[in-house]
Amino acid sequence: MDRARYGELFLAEAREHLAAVNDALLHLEREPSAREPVVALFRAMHTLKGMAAAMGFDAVASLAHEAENLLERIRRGERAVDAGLIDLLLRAADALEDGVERSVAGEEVSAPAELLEDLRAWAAPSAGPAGAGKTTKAKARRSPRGDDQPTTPPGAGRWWVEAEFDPASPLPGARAFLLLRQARTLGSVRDLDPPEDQLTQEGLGRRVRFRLDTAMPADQIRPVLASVGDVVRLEIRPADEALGVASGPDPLRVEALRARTVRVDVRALDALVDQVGELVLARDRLRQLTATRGDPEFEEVAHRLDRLVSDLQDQTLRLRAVPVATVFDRFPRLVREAARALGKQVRFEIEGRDIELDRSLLDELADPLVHLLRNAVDHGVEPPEERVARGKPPMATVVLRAARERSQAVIQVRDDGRGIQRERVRARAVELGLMSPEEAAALTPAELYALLLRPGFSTAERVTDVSGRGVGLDVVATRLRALGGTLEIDSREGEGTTFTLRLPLTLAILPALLVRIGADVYLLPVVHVLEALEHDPQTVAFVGGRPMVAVRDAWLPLVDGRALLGVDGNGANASARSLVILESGEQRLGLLVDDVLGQREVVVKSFDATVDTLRLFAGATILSRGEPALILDAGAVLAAPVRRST
Amino acid sequence: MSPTVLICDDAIFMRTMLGDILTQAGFTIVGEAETGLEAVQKYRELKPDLVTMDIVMPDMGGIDAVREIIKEDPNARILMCSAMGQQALVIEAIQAGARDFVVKPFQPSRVLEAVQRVLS
Repeated sequence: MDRARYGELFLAEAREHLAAVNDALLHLEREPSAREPVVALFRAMHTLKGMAAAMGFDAVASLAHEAENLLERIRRGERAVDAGLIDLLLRAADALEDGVERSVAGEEVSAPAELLEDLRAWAAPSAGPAGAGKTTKAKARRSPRGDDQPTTPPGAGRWWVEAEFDPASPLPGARAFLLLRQARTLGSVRDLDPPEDQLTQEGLGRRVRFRLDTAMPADQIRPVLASVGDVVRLEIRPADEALGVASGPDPLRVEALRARTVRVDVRALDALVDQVGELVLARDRLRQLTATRGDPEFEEVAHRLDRLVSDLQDQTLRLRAVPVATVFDRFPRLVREAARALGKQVRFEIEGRDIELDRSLLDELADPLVHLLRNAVDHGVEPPEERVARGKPPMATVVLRAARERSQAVIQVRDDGRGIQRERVRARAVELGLMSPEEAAALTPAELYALLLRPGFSTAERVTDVSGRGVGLDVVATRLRALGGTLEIDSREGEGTTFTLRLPLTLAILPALLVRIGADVYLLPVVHVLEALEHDPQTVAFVGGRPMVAVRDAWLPLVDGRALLGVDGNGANASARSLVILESGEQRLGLLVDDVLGQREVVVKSFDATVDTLRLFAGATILSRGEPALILDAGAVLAAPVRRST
Repeated sequence: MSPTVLICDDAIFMRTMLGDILTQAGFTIVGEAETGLEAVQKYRELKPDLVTMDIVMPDMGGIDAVREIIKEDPNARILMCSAMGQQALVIEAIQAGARDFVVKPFQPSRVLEAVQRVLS
């Protein structure tokens, strides 16, 4: 087995199975009597075992084997599911994850002996579920699965048997059952695929496969098994020869999937997206040139190329889209553990797990979401006693929701906890010298919550293991802005808090409005632009010392782009300026610019916006003429009116 | 001597059809039963070489009848007759001791193949 060649593939697939294991365990914890998670767990463990054995990762294989034995007993209804059992299996999942990663990294891995003992003890016939977790002395070698009897005589042959039934054969599951009965007259049957309890399902494949340990030679096995009837193909191979292949997933399913999907290295996909991004830029340049040529033939080709590139861009980006579940599904575990560590009771719900988002965007979001979820459990949710005292159910609810709204991805983290205590935020703002008590009292809730996003502004009184110290929300907000998104907070005291993350659907290409401020060109993400108007200085008024502009019936805060960026007007005529209305969530404002140059799609280049003076920018891009331009961060611009007092 | 058969089915039509297929192949029909209860009694009485057993019958269903018969004679050779979509019931019958099964509508060749397997 060429480990280097298969390592990456093994790792990718093993991770998928481990994610399924975690998911199924949490499902089982919610519904201890549910069957599907047990079956899913069994299958995942079984496949992992086969894959690890094929790679020669014995520690992982033996761990998966013990877990599989225990699951088999649960599946047969011989072991009840309780909290102790879930904990044990979660421990096994962790150890497997660790073992998989380290084995692939080339480390020498041994299965934790205590864990193996515990798994065996729980699978042992006499061990009752209660207290079995502690019986590490139990010496059960293997679970007595009904399948394994009668015990195999020493020196017996081990065979892989694969049978295929006639397509005209009715009820192939029942036929498979007859085959099994015949096989059991010869010896012991194990590793049955599909599992025995699934044979009753209609619409199952026509193939069945199992391992047969028997003293009989192959030529005597064949007639006994073939006597079952309707068997069109019967393969009997020595078990050692076929182990790697035969213990893999269902061959029928794999064949079907192989026809429709291919595995692609994510790096190759990223490179493709980048290339397409460059192509989009080249197309834009061509579009401009075409407009100046006035050559109809040239125009026709350019127009066609334009459409092709647009389609290509669309499809390429879709290639990278994955369901949010790929990232979200590890959160239930995290919330569960955070809640347990803090002695809180939390029910965690995920909404919109099938929503598809750009993979790179999702990857970037994972950390901020971890932060927000921990924050919700730690600071949002009250301890059960406090909740009861407030007339709430002791079990709190935290919801993670994903949705697509127009060209934005919207992700919310919502809790029904104590909410943000506004007075404490005000007090903190004054304490930090950010503003006078009068100014603090005049802040709207939205402005107040915006303060929470400033570095070092945590009001948490305690420092806990779970959410760390005060470096929280500001880090999340900065990260989001770097992604071209925004973070909004909505909260009601005593009722809960909702964090809303809004992001462009993809990171790579951003539709932007080109504006000139002073001598330079800047870009504004189109998702945040409501409209662009000619500016009329007559519509400006000062309200409470702040400039406001009247747009139709509404008064919006006004920010002068020149003042914001600290550039001068280059002698431009103040009356010929334009007004761009920006919007994010509930907030709106008018941004005064010197010129609106048009709309364009740009490729966002990564940009490290940690330095304070760069806070206003979400990224950079190269314009079609090769000049660099900065992308203005709409969230930061919208926060500017609050910023003024610092 | 040709093998003897007890046919158990609550529908005369099915009994007649099966009877014709088996008689033409040289079997001797020694009895018929319309309910599971009757099947158990007639088996005791007639000790046939083969029983064909419908799954759904009044009084006592075919599967319970199989259990009763196997309890008295573990070597009884029983062929289940089922309709499509009764896979789970067929498996239950096999677990109870039935040797094979055929699915309605009956095709003579399939019935005879199954009978051969049961008797071999």
